[in-house]
Amino acid sequence: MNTNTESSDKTNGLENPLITDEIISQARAAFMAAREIKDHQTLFVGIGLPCLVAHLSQSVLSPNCHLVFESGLIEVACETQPLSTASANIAKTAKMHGSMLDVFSMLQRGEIDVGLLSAAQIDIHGHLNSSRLITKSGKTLSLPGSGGAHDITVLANKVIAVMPSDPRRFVNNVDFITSPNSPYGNREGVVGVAMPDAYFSFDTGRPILQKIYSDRNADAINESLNWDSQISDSLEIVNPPEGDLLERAGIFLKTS
Amino acid sequence: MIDKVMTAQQAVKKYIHNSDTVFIGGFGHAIAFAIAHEIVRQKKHSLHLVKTGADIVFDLLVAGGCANRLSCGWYGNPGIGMSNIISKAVASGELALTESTNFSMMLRLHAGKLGVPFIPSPILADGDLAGSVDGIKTIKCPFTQAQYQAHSALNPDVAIIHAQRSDMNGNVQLWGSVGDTIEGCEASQKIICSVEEICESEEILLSPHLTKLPAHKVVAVIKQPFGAYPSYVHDYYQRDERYYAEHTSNTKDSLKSDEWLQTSVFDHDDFECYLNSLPGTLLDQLAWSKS
Repeated sequence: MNTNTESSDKTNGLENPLITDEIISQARAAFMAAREIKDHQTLFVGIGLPCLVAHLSQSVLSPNCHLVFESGLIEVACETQPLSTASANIAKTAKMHGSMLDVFSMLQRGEIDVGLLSAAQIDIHGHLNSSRLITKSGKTLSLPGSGGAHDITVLANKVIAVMPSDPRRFVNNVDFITSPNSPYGNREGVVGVAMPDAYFSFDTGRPILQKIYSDRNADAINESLNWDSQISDSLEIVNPPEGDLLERAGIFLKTS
Repeated sequence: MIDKVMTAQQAVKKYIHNSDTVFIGGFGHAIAFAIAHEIVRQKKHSLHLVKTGADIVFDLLVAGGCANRLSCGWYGNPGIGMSNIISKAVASGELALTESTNFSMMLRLHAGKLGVPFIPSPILADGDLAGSVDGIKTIKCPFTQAQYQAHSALNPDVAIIHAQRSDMNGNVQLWGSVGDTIEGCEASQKIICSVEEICESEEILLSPHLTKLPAHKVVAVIKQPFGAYPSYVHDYYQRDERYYAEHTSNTKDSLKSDEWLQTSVFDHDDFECYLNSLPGTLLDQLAWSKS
């Protein structure tokens, strides 16, 4: 097992009562995704974990990235957590108030480099579900639905999913294909999924555990999820976010 | 010059008919709550509601028994959770729900706005939503022979919206996050608009770039400050975050929903009375801040 020997109360944030386990978990998933963003890219940002990815990208890792939200807000500074894609906090930091048609048109024209999405489930084909779940007893549990998720998945040049580490979210076949991994034209579709322990790529069309945090064991993480995934021959070890990154995540998540 | 200023009561009575298709304006911002309250109060029914993302104002209309059909890309309480009211109405068969995607709804309203029968797009070709949405059919591009989905035009009978201001003729000025409001209004046959302020036409002439809706489609202008409460209006007031946070538990079952509907709508003669029933300093606390 890879152990982060440098870990201390200070670096993992335990010294700061604001940095809860939940914040650390979200920061780890978001950081794993934010590492995949290249500076100057244009990102279409979903609500929830994707906003933290956008915040860490913009404030630390890719300071020149451009953020677009489905409500029509363009060139947003994502400094505090928005509860919806039209929230006042991001409307106030947007340099352009466009319409929904403006931003979905950007997607369709191929101007969005990366779509950042979360979902209730992701499967080994890279399909995403945000519509309904079938419980073990066969009961259907309704969810709010696609919103722009289907459109982003089909139309963005790349999609990175970011999910909490709940094993039930990683399945061989989603209960409902809201957002099919069938990208338009020569776009790449869902290229990977970040979660608090690791990053899986879909380079081969199936999930490959490509990157893992140094304090996690690849075999254990690979086994823990409910889907059939493999471990890459060229597994990359990543140091988990600490110090300033955790502080930023903590402040961001507390200010909604 | 026609004076279109009237009360919400008059506007809803005159311009919203049972079985109408209604577009509800406001995507997160400037949601037409005041007019929606009045639709519930007048017990309109069998409406077909159309929207991209259906916020909690749809809970009001569905709980009030006003709608029997909803076409949307999403429904719920943004950032917080599911709509218990809509889920229950769908499960009981009371409400026919057509789920699509936000872009598809936008394209259909845009086709309506353009006055063309459909707009082609590659979305909704695959996945479990494909084939399940009325008004979408596969077509072949006459130039490349590639396959696309035709998203058919939606032309609602009426759009209800809230905006910052208008003159008495209905030159409506709206700014901030406009979401789907402009497309929805332009696709509709007529527009009912509540505003924070009614201003002189001379003032509109100083900023015609802010006028987003043409007066000839606007049939009613309602003066209703805080008419988008509990949502926000850019430069006027913030969202009541607590209202949204508590909404899901306030509507968690039929008993709670009925109580919510009673205390927000039926206990009051109009929206102004409802606002007056809110805790004393609440609206002051929601004053807009630039940062």
